[in-house]
Amino acid sequence: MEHENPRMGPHDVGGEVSGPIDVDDHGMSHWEKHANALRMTVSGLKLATVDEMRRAAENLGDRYNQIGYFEKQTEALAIVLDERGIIPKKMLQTELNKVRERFQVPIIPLPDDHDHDGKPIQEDETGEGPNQHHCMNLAMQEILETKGLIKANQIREKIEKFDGDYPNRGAKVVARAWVDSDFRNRLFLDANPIIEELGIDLEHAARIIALENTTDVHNVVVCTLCSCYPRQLMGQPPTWYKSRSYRSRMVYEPRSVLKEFGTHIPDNVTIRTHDSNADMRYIVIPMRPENTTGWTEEKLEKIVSRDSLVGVTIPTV
Amino acid sequence: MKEQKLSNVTSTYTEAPGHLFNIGDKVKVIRSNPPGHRRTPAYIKGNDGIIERICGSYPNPEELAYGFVGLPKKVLYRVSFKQVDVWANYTGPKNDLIEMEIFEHWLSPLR
Repeated sequence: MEHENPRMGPHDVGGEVSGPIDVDDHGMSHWEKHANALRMTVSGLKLATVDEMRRAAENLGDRYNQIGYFEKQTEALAIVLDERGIIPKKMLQTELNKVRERFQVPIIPLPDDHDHDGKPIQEDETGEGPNQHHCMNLAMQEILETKGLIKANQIREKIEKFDGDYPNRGAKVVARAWVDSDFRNRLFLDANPIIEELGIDLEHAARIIALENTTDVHNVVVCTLCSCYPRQLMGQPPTWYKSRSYRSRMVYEPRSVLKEFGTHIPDNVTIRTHDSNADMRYIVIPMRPENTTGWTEEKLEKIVSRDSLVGVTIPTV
Repeated sequence: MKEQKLSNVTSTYTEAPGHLFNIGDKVKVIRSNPPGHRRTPAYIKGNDGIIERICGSYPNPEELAYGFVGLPKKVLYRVSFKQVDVWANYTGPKNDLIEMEIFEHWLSPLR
């Protein structure tokens, strides 16, 4: 949809006409999880700021639209660590060559009847060894470890938290808000302290704003400039949240976008669309479905999907 | 000046000393297109909105993006806009809103 202002760069997509949204989450491959963990660890330790990495990605020009999300993040991280003199380009190149060598193992011919428990041997995902960007991330990690700036277990722990802990936290908050009115009131007033009282460590990473769905108001969240998302509370954003279509369209045609997710919001309900564009992070607190009277928190948690925490779906029984 | 009410437990809301705007004030987003890293999306520039919340003061992302410390901090607001004002062809109900965070130096008062 048209507006009069020049876009700031390839990332500034709010309002662009774009195609339908692929509403399935495609998950993440191991190299993407590693890339994400490295980036989050580096920014958590303040070796580089998120804003520097965003700027580096925005300045990729045409390349911004030609490579994937985690490829961009990887290249941006390398640019910033070079600028900061932590990993000069030449140092990265030298380390990158070493990493590549490490993966050049001889191919050993196996007997035709060789298998594992009756299953054929499975090579890695591509059969071609790690991709260029994964090698870059491994090289950056190697150098940062050698310099004593990070430890390998920090990356591993981050990957584990994203796999296990982070994705379950949002539903816990919603279920508590459904059963405990004092919790609920304080959640909307100032979310972080009350969430941390549930034993959820938000790691001082973000200020959370909880958005209340009511019979009159439905909230949806998007980040048009990048993909801001409360990762310590909700895990990694689903693939579609980072897609160009979702980021472009949600701000000007929320009802059409919601229909693609199978969610129909009647016209007498106000849609509040939140463009999560700076320092706040958002969690939608959906309405508790009818017919859940007497349910335990554990049982309630199970009906709170990740998509409902962004407002694109509604919990149902 | 009217301050936000906070709960008694330790709040994570940062202070916003000397904030220019208060909740409910009408503001206009400055229409300006300087080069560099900015967090004000193009589509909202030049629009009129209402201060929904004072988020506190935060290091300036426009400085952080280039390796500086981002001080002095800038006051950050959440501003609420009517969708029908933002998009000339908005097809949804007139009550629909779009809200986002805008730093004080991107806002001018509207009386």
